[in-house]
Amino acid sequence: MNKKCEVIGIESDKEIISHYYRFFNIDILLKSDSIDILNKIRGFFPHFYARLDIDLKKNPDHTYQIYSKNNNFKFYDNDNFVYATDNLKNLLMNAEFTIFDNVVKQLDYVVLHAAMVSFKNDGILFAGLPRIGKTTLTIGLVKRGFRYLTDDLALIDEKTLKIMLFPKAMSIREKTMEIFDEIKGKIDRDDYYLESGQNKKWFMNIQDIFPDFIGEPCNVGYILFPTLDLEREPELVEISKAQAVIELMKFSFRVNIEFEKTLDILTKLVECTKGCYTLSVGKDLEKTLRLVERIVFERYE
Amino acid sequence: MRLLVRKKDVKWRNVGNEVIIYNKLSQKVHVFNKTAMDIWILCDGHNEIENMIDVLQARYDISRDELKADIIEAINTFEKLQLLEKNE
Repeated sequence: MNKKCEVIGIESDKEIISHYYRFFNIDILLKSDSIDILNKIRGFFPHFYARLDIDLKKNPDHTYQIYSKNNNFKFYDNDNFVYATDNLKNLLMNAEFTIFDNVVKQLDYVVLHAAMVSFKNDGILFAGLPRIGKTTLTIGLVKRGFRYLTDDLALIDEKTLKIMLFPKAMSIREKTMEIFDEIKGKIDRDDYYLESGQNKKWFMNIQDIFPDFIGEPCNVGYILFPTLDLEREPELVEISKAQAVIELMKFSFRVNIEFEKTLDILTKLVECTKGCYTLSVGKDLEKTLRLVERIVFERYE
Repeated sequence: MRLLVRKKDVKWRNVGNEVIIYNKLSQKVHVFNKTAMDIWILCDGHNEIENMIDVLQARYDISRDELKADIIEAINTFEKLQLLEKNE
């Protein structure tokens, strides 16, 4: 590992360090001359950081390289130059996005924009696009004893229809941070990232907030489609399973490429659920969470 | 006699008491209720409207005229959405 990088166009006399990741069946190699950068990126995906005792593939599925020189950073994807920047935060955010985006494209799962928690092996899936409160609902329910599976993307195993555990660093926005003391106490407020629109966000892993509340892959018991309307009272409205399939299709990746396959899998997934609902996430988060708890707990009363 | 038959490029899945119909050509998905689902299943190339009424009258507690009106309405909708072949 202690060698000068020989890729054309990359100049670094520093030691090149390698970090390996395994995302299910996909092996990723990340190389850099900066251990700080590698450790920061490791913070985004600690669950997938490959331990040395894992038998990794001889040739990783993907190799990324990041080099720094006088506070200028260059990012390469399989030896192809991707971008350069003098802003470390931008580099890290783009690296996180690029690595994750490529992994999701290669995964052998049906992938949904959805969060999921579980209670006694019943999954509660929240399907919806970013910024509708999936992460806030997830943290709120984990705080109340539910188990975490994912707060952003749900991976469906085609054979078992189970949702896989998929923890990566959660993207926490200011409003979410203000709600939960558990986050406020552990986050470094100065270590923020800027989204487009100049909104601040922080990255934090669920294990750092609630280390004992990580769930196991499980089937979906309930599907909820949250909408955010802070002017309204929270409300749950049951919808038909066919309607739920149609709604889920909107939040599925690769639906344009594998429409029928996705429709089949989502139909099977929905058929096995106990109920599907729209959820208006209102101004009162506690009340919203109680509504969700009620449909799940009713079954155990 | 007009036999009603589903287009080959149209796929469907029963979900609970409803049917999801996917038209591959138009790339559109439609959801129909149980009555429409029953009519849809009978659009198999072997039935015309009078047969459908006979079959469905055993399942629904409504008059023959009402049933005929429902069937015609459903078929008109299927045709409008280009889900049926015409088989005269």
